[in-house]
Amino acid sequence: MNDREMADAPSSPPTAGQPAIELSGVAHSFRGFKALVDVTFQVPLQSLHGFVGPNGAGKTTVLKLICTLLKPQTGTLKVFGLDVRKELNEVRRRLGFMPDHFSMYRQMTVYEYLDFFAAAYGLSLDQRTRVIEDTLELTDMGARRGDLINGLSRGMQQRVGLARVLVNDPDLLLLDEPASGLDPRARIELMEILRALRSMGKTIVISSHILTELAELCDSVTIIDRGHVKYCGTMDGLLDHEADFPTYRITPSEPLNGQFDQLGALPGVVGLEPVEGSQDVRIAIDPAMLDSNGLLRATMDLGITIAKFGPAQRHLNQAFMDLTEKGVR
Amino acid sequence: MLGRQTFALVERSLRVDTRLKRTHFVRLAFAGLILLLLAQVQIGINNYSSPGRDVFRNICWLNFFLLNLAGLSFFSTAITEEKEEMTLGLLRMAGIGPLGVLLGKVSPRLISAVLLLSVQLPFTFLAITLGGVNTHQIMAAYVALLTFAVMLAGLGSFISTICERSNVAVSIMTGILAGLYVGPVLAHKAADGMLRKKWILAETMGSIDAKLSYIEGSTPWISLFSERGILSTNFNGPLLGYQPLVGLITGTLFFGLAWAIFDACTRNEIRVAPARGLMALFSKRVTAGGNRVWNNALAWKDFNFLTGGTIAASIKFVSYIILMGSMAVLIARELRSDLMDSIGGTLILSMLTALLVEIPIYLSRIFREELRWQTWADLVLLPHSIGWLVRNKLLGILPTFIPAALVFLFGAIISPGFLQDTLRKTFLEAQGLYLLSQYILGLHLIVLLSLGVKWGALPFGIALVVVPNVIFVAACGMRPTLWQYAIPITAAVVICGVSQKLIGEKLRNLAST
Repeated sequence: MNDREMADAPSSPPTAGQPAIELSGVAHSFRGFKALVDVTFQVPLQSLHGFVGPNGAGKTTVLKLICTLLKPQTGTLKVFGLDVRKELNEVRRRLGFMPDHFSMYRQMTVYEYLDFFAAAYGLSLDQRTRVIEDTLELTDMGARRGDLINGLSRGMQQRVGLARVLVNDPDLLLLDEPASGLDPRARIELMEILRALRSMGKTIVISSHILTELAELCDSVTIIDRGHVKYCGTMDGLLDHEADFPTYRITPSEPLNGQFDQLGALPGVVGLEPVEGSQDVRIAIDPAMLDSNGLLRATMDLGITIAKFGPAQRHLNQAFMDLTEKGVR
Repeated sequence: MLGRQTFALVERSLRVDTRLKRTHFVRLAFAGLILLLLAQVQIGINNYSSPGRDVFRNICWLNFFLLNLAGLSFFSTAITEEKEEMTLGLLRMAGIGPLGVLLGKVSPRLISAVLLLSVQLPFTFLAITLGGVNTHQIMAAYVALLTFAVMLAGLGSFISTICERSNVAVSIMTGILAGLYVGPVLAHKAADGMLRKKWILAETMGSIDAKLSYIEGSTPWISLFSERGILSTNFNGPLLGYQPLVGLITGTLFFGLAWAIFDACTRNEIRVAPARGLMALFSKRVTAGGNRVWNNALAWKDFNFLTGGTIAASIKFVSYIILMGSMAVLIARELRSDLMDSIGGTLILSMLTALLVEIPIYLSRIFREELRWQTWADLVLLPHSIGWLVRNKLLGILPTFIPAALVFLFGAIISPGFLQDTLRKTFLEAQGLYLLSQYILGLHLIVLLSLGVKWGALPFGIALVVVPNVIFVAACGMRPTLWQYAIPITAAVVICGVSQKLIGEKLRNLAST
């Protein structure tokens, strides 16, 4: 097939059960520097997947490999079952990549910019008109369609960037730090757009440092550090997962005061900390010495009236800190 | 006033420059080039009446050419590149004053040029042993070149300070240099015409010529290469003659001016963004019910935003018509016979020249602009190959050549004989093929360089083609044999092939950086 035929070839819809992205043993080096080492993870179809890691962890490299800007040096990388090495153009047609920097034709108007990319993807005039209206509506940029991109605020430029990656109706969206540099309102609005896109059946991979928002937004997450995948799975699984000991959260009816120390001195309790902004405590136990029932009983024996008791979920920040190493590389 | 911070940038630049292998390699290559020129003359010494002077003349031409290139690219972008990267404010916040910034940005470039000239000096003295040139001439020639470098550095620092963008600064510098070289000649012709019409008196003409000679004499073009210049036989002028003095004074004056207005010109940081150009003035914006992007979106983008679109093409067409019409009238007044042939020939040659100048200008920008604004990756992510992108971008710049092509076609219609002759000379004669091959080689090198250097791909691409060809002509004389022509033609074909491969690879790699 020549380029034109490749560009015009119809794309097959994503198959249920098949992962949207599948990396297996992927490694990548830049002039001897190992950016990625044996990276293996999957992104479920139609999920909103968080991609988290400290600076220099290899997030952008992974995203560039997935979007075909880089060629994997070893391992296999499949997008909707398509090998990125062999079916490059088919993969490109089915994904939209929004890089972390603002690379735009700023001298164009919003409408020109979207029309340009829609035409570059080979859409007919009618299709272009329709798809541009849809994306403008989704990103709430309809009123600014005639404005020069250069005159728009950063948040609005980010919306235009998002509209641009949507013009070819991709099944997969790769967003590298889409919320960086945005004010809180713009960030919240962006997250709302992403939720709307997920409800449309898109698979979205979002790399971000704003962990609170990722925790609320994402179904699944991959944590990468120094080129190694540290965790890949559901967000709940990550937040429930403790590195060492099971942890529970106790909500007492009244403030603990002197009972706090007594609670910490119980046999089998290996960690105790107050939960900031409440009278709750997080308590970690050694399962060899104490189980959850024993903990509940011992707590009540101390005269503490319990309003609520259950497994404690870590904050994503904590999970991130637990899984990643200190320092930068 | 001249504290440690004033020279902090100079010190840093020189230190970085010294550590770079490239710096030493360029100097070594230049010294090698001089030795090559000397060796080539030594081998064929019987063909020269004054071999030492001939070889030294070639060296001086080479230096003069390279200094002009440096003026266009190095010196005129010294401050604008900081403005464009928005780092000027940071330098100022670090306590570096206007003089510190100017010295730090301009003087290392000037020192590089001076060192490049100095490294040749010992070798050029060998020219004395070949005969035809003496020590005084060599010293005077280098003083002329060095002071010319000072003038360009001063002028460049001034232009770079007042301009916001490097491309504007380069254009202004090009205009000034072109004015210096061509302006006096054109002014003389105009005054001569007026004298013949008796619009001015002979005394006025003499006075105009005297004034023009001051302008002409301010560059080594005249001080070195004219009939009474430094390279003429029996030159006995002072080392620090008119041109070196003008060079030093002008350079210092413009540097001082740059210093004086630096704060006023750079006080506010300017966010540099791609410009809409002529599209902003006249073209209707793309809307759902009106103008639309062409189906070939890449061609639409480059035609409108790189070449200026229909508006720029129309302005060019009207300009060509006016210019060529005036020339035709002038020719018709002078000539009585072969009128159509002369007009047709002029149209063909003028438009051919316009095309030969326009093509490399657009090629030097076709990928540079994408890289500069980091938009290349967006295009690479389209479901098309790099080859497809390149072809369609090239299609986008083609319509801008239509005005010149139309005038050319008109010339061909009224003078088919001239066209036939030009085509025969270009494609069937060795010299034509040689020139064509070198031109195409230049285009390839310009594109390749534009992917690697921020500014100056165009002049450096030209230099890379001109310098070896100067040596080729120096080695073979003005009438090389058929076999001698085969060498640069073959080399051009091979280098073009390699360049295409490198361009493809670079375009692929640049998308991921």
